[in-house]
Amino acid sequence: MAPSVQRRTARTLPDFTALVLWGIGGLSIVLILYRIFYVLTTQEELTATIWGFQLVNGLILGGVYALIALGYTLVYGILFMINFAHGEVMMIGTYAGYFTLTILKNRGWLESQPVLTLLLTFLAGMLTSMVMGIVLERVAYRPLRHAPRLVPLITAIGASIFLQNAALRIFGSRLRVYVKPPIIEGGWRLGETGIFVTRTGVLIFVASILLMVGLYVLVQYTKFGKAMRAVAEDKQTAALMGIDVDRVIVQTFMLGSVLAGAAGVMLGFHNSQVNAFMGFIPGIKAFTAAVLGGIGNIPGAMFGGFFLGLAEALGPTALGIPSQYKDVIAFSLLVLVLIFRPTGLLGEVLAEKRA
Amino acid sequence: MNDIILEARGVTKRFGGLVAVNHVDLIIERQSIVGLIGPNGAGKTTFFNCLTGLYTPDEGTILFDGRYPLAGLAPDQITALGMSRTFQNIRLFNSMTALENVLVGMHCRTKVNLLDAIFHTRRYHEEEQATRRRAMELLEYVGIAQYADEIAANLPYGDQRRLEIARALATEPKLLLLDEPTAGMNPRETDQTTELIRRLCDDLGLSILLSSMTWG
Repeated sequence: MAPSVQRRTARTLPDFTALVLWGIGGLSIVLILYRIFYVLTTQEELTATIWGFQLVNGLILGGVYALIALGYTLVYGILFMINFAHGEVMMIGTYAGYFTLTILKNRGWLESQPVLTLLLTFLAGMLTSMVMGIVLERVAYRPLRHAPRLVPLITAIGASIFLQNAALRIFGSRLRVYVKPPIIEGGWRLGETGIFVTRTGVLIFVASILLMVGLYVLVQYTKFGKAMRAVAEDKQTAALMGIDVDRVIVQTFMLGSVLAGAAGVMLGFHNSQVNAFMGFIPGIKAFTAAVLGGIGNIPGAMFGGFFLGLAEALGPTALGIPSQYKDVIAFSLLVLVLIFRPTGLLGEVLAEKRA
Repeated sequence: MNDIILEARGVTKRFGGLVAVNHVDLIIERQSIVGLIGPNGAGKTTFFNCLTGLYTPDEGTILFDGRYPLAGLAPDQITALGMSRTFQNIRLFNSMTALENVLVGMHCRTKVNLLDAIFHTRRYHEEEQATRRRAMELLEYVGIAQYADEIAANLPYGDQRRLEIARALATEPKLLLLDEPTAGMNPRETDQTTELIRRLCDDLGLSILLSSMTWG
């Protein structure tokens, strides 16, 4: 008798916490919709130009977020840890790109060899970030491979702070200006609409898409990708099938860091400057993007990146609030997703973790 | 050429006060099938884990292929020497297709690296095709070629066991460890599996160590 009585009470009593949560969720959705409706009906100066401009901005930012988010997701998928120093790996790559650019500028290559200059800048950023990722894994994470999951997480935050301040000490606190080769100066005005698309933006968008397609092919169809998926699913069995697990982990860090390096150089061009703390906010934003899409899920990180980029760019306009509030929108999204769909918008495709 | 593929001497594994494997001596000759019989909790799987490097034995020595002492080697290094295994409770890579599972098994026998893959060198293409062909052959050999592109988790139980054997064969082992290969099978599946294991020994010249709870 006892179990059935218990079940009945459980069913008749509404789950109070869930009720409150859904109340908050429903209320915020109603408020947001009302606000968008209000803005759309009252503010007439919101032309297609402004929307188009924000859309383009969102896509550019989204590409960068997606690239960084992939680094979080790759590492999480394989080690179940969040590499909070990932933004700093990106920052180091941005500095490497800056120094390459400066050297090439002094040689006059910006005018004479613009394409080569761009390639070399990206290459320098990607390779330096890659080395940074390898060192980080070796020094900070590998000794803690078998520690409880909280320990590498705290180490990652420590590594993040260490790298920020090391960069501050080494490179100094003054802003360094990213020079743009003339080839990516300016832009195009799209026909009648008056939307202005910068060449830098196009470069960022196209390059990020290419890198993402490349990564997807690598993970899905190559021997390395299969080994990586095998390690993500079951490290022990992967080792017994002859896969060197440590090696695959290092290669995963390399892959994520290369993407971060590319994203760093893109951000450098986008913001026209670099400083020691530039990695922090994009890093946290990209982490948000990875969670939005479902951390550990590669298409999820790409989707989450673009989703967040668009939400940040279009959100303030749609809600009629100053664009300084875009961070508020991003992190509110994070909280909402964590409450209502903790596995992310695209769900979790991770296998359950084995001991 | 040595006639003994595996020689274990006094292998002991303790978990705290519990002695799971107590001074096991075992000699496996080439091209033979050796059975390890015992009830649940007898330490069969623990012994397997000692052999494949998942556990480090507390005492004793294991000599593989007459030359290689296994002490201190990681599981992937032992697999590279030519020992492979299946699991008592099936441990396939469930999110991958059957073919991909076998391809993962071939990982340590292929040479291409990340750079080959990025730049799509000729070596990459040739090897990719060769490994795919070989993987299909293995699936055919164990009789599940029709499931090549099926997700491993969706295969029928008996065929998942066959896939595990195919994946183990893909590492090109000299010694194959089968941990309760007929567990949970009906009599017909058991017969088919027994026949497959015989073929592995006779056709491919493998040495096989299998564990089971019953004779038969």
